[in-house]
Amino acid sequence: MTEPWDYSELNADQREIWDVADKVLSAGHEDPVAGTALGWMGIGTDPQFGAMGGTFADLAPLLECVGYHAAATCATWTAGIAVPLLAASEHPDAALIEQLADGRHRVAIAAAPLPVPTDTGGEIVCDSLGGVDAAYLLVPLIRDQSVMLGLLPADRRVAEDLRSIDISRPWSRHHIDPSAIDAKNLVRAPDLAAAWRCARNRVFALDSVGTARAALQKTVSYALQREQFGRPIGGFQAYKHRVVDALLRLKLAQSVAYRAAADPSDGRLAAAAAVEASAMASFVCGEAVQLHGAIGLTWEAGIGTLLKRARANEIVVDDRANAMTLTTSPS
Amino acid sequence: MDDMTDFRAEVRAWFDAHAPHDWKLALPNMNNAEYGDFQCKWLRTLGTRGFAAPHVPVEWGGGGYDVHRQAVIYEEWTRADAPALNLYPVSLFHVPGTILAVGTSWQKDTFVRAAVDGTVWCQGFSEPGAGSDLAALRTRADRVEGGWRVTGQKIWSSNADLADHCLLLARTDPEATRSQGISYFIMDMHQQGVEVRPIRQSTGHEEFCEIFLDGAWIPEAYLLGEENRGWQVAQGTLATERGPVGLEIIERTRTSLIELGAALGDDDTGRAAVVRQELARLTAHAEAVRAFAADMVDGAARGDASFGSASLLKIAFSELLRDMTGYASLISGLSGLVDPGQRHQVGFVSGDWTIDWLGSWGWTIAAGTSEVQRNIVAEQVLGLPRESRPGAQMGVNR
Repeated sequence: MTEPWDYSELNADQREIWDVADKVLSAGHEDPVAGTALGWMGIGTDPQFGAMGGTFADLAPLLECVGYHAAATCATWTAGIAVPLLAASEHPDAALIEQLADGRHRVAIAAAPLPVPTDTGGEIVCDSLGGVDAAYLLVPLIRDQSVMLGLLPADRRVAEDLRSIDISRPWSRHHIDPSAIDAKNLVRAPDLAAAWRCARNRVFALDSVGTARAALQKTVSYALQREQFGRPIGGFQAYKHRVVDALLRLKLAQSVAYRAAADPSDGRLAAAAAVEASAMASFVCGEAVQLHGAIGLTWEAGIGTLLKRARANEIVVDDRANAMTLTTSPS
Repeated sequence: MDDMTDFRAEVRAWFDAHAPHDWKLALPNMNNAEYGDFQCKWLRTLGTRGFAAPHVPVEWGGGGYDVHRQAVIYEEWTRADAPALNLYPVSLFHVPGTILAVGTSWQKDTFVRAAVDGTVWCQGFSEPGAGSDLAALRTRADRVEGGWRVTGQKIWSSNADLADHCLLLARTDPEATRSQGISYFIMDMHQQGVEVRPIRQSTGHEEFCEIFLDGAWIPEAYLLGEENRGWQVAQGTLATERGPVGLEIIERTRTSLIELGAALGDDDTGRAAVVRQELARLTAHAEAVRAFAADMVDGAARGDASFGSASLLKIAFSELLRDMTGYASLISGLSGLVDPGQRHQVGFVSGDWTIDWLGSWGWTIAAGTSEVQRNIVAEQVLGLPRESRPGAQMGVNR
C-alpha cells in the first residue's frame, strides 16, 4: 500500500534503503554521523574505495529520507557531493576517500563557490554545511575565471559555528588565508565546476523533497483531526484545495529530482530539480504553517524547522548559475 | 538510447521535408472550408508516418509509438514550427480512447480508422445546466423503433460546426436520477434535427459551439456500451483528456521556454536578468511537469497507474500552459498588444502569446475544471472529507 507522497518509481533496493533510513532516523535524527556504520557515506561510490557501490539513484531515497526527518547527518553531502567528486578526480586519494566513506573523517561543503582575490592578503570567508569539527572543507575556488576544488584541512582555515536559520543541520563559517592554499590542497578533475554544481543540485533537490513531504504529511493528519465549526477542517474546500496544490507541487518536484538523480550527466535537469524542488519546499512548508493555524507558528510544532530548512536549501541553490543553465538551450 | 537518437534524427528530417510553410500568413484569410481542407491535408500528411495519432495502435491507423517516441514526435513537431491539429482532438484522442475500449467490432471498424484519417468529431457532454455537475444533464434520448430520437441542448462543443459525428451523452431512463439512466451514443451531425451555432470566444476564434437537438435520429448500432451505463463509459473518455493529450502541450510549452531563454543570449543585466530569473523558474517547473508525466507513462506501461495522477497532471499541464503563455505575453513588448486576427485556432502554443494566454483557460476549465480535479484528489487520494453535494462530479467537454 503506497501513500500519495511515496515516489512511485522506486525499485526494491531503493525502497529498502528508504525503509532502513526511515527506521534509523526515526530513532535519532540529530546524530551528525547517523548511518556511518551502515555505509551511507559510500552509497553510489565505487567499491574500490572501500565504499558500498551502487549509483547516485540508489542514494536518492536516502537523501529524501534525511530531508523528511530534518536530520543532521553529514551522509547527504558526504555521499552525494564530496566522495563522488574526489573519486572522479585525476589522482584520487583512495585512503582519504575511504576515511570519508567509513566516517573516520567528516567533511563540510561550501554553500557556494568562493571567489579568491588575485592580490594577496586579506582573508576570505566561506559559509558551509557541516560542523566546525569537520576535518576537511570542500570548496570550489574561483580565480581568474577558472575553478579549482579546494580540500582544506583544519590547519588551512579557522572555523566557527554559523548560527543559521536552519537549526536542523550544523553550519559553519571558515576564515581562509588565500596565500595558505597550495597545490596540495587542490583537487584536479575534468569539468569540475559543472560536476560540483550538478552534485550539489541533486542533493539539495532531494533533501527539499523530503522536507516538504514531512510538512505535507503533518498537514494532512492535522486536517483530518482538527475540528472547527463542528467538523474536520480538511472538509472545507478552501482548505483542501490548498492541500492538493501542496501535494501537486511535491509530486512534480519529486519526479524531476529522482529523474535528475538517475541521469548524472544531465546538469540542466539537475538545475531544474534544484530550482523547482527548493522553491516547492518553501511553498509547501509555508502552506503547512498557514494550514496549521497558530500552532504552525510555534517552535514546538516543528513546522518552522522544516520551513527554515526548506528556505536554507532554496537560498543555496537559487543562484545565477542555475538561472543561466536553465535559460541556455540543452545540448 | 542510440535508437532514440536515430529516431529523433529521422523524425526531424521528416518534419523538415514535410511541414507546411507560410501557413501562418494564409490562415487569417481562410474560410471554414479552406481551414478544414488545410487541417485535413496536414493530418493525412502526418498520417503517412503515423505522427497524427502516434499513441493509436497501427492496426487502427495510428503510429503505435511508445510514449517516449510520442514525446520525441511532439518535440520535433514543435521545433519545426508546424501547425497543430486543432480540428481533430476528439477524432484523435477521445474517439480511439472510447470506441477501442467499449465499442463493438463494427463500431471500431466503421469509426476509428476513419477518425484517425480525418472525419471530424465533436463531443456533446456539457449543457447549459450541466457543467461541472455533468450528471444534471437533461438532453433526452427516447426509445423508438430501431433506435432513439434525441431532444435537448449541448454546449461548449469544440468544432461542432465542422463535425461529421458527435460523442453524445443523453438521458435514456427518465425515471433514474443523476448518473444513472444516461447512455453514450455516436450521433451523425449531418441530419435534420441537429442545429449548430458557433460561440465567439475572447480569443476571437469561434471554436466551440452550441448544439440544438430536436428529434435527431440515432440508430441502434450507434449506442456505445450498454444502455443506461453511459456514465461509466464517459469516465474513460474524460481520462483521455487528462492523459496523452497533455504530452503534446508539455512538449510545446517546454520548447517555447527553451526558445525564449535562448533569445536572451548572454545578456544578464537589467531587464534581461529579471526575465531570465522568471524564465528559469518556469523552465524548472516545466521540466518537473514533464518528469511527472514521464513517470506516469512508465507506470501506465507497467499497468501500475497510481490513482489520481491523471487529475494532478491535468492541473499541472493546464496551469503551466497558462503561466508560460501569460509570461511570454507580458515580455513580448508591444507586439503582445496586436491581435493577429486569426479566425481559427492554430494550437495552444502558437507564438501569438496574448491570444495563447487567453485561450489557455480552455484547458484549466475543460475536461473537469482545475477545481473539480482538486476535489477528486483531495477526497479520493488524500482521504479528506467530502463537502455535502448530491452526486459525483465530472467535467465540461472540449
